[in-house]
Amino acid sequence: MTPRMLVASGLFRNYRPVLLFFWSTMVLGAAITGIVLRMVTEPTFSPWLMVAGSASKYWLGAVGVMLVSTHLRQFVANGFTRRDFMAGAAIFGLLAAALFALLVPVGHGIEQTLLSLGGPLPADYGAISVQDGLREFGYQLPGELAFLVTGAVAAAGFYRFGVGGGLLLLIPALLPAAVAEGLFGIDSNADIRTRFVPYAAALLISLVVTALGALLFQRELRHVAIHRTAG
Amino acid sequence: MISLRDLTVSYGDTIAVDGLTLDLAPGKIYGLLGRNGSGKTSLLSVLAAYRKASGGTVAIGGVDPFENAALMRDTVFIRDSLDVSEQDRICRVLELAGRLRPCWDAGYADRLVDVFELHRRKRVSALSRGQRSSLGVILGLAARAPLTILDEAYLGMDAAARKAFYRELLADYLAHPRTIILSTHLIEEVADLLEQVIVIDHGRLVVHEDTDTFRARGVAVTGPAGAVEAFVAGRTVLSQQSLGGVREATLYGALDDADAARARAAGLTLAPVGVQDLFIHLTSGADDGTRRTEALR
Repeated sequence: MTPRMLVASGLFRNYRPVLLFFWSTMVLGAAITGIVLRMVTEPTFSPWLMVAGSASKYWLGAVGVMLVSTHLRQFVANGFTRRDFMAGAAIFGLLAAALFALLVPVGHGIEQTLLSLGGPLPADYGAISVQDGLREFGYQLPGELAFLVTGAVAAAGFYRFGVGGGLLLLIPALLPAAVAEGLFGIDSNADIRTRFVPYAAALLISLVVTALGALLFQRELRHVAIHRTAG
Repeated sequence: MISLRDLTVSYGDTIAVDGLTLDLAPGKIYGLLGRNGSGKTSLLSVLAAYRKASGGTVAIGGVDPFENAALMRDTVFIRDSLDVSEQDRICRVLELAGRLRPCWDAGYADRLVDVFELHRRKRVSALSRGQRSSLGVILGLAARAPLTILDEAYLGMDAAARKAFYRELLADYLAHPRTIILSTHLIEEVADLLEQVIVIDHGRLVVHEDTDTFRARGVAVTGPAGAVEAFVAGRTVLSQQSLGGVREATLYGALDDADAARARAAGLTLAPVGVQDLFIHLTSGADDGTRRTEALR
């Protein structure tokens, strides 16, 4: 296995139990919310889409922070270069973001199936088809990537330049997440939509800003000294 | 061969390593000695590619280790603060090292866990200072890296654990020879392990030589004040102290047989100076406020 694949697989192994816990909590939370809503009213939205769609992005943002504060020195201490760590982290991040973006529409579909067991779906519930699922994936993925990169760039700024430099770099660090949040949205009826520009343009802008954030991350860490503590 | 040429490490205006030039042959145990803030950790950080040098060059086998995948894989650097996740259990830390380190000896690591009486299920955050050091020693030794760097790896260890550490270090080095650099303040305890000593002070190299040669450089001359004064005239005196009419002077520089005979004929007693005492004399301030190391340069 190449060093970067070792890093990627090491990160997946590390996060496997946390991932299981996180998604189990999401499933449980969405299920309870769905049952309660169904008992008291006719849900006009997908609890899963609202909760998991947002939480998964925030969780990846936190993972981005952890990549710098915990895992960088862990892997360098085990004989890996910063370059291999960043490449492995990028593989891990891409796969994790794709997995999370996939789980959102899949969970939505499962939720819809469970709701339909109790009778006809409420008229206003945002029902999902395979095509809608693909669209949801397409709208979710840029946000997942953007939040991961934002977390990583923000943490790298503090790690490399301390509090002062880190605060200054927060502005470019927050751009990927801000752009993704600004351009992509899911309304209360689970209708996915873009703001300001068509989907293709929104996707392009978001991916470019996220890629620039990833480049900043690489520049921040490529020669960074390995500190004793997180920052 | 590890070659440092005019190596400088600075943090803003603070110079931690100041134009240090040094060659280290492979397959030896080196003791890196220096007072707090002398630049030991900065020097080791550059060797382990944890930090880029501010100036000068560092080469291992002719190649700069910074971001060199092969050299970094062949180096293990254990700092007093462990570079592991605080939330991980010991077994998980060792498992990770086993997957990532090419020469990791899992059986040996397991044995060391027992030797240091660590509980595999305990989280790193719950370990005492000494237990953390023990875990660091396990990570350092079981990695079997061709360049093993242990920076004050004994901190907080009790006497029994330190003895076990020295025993295991020597046994494993004999079974698997490699370059080991030990940075330590417990000089007398490890002096017998060290093949060569490197003394740095204020980021500069003071001494680099075989431990036996270094040890032989320190001589304590004791006797009547006048006789001692006459004998030490023109020699490098590291320290002097008097009690009544008796004076003891610590000299830097080995005495030849003729000098030794002359001293005895003058009623003087000659005694070796321990490595730690010699180090203290070399790196402590002189009466005139200057470092004695300045006089040796």
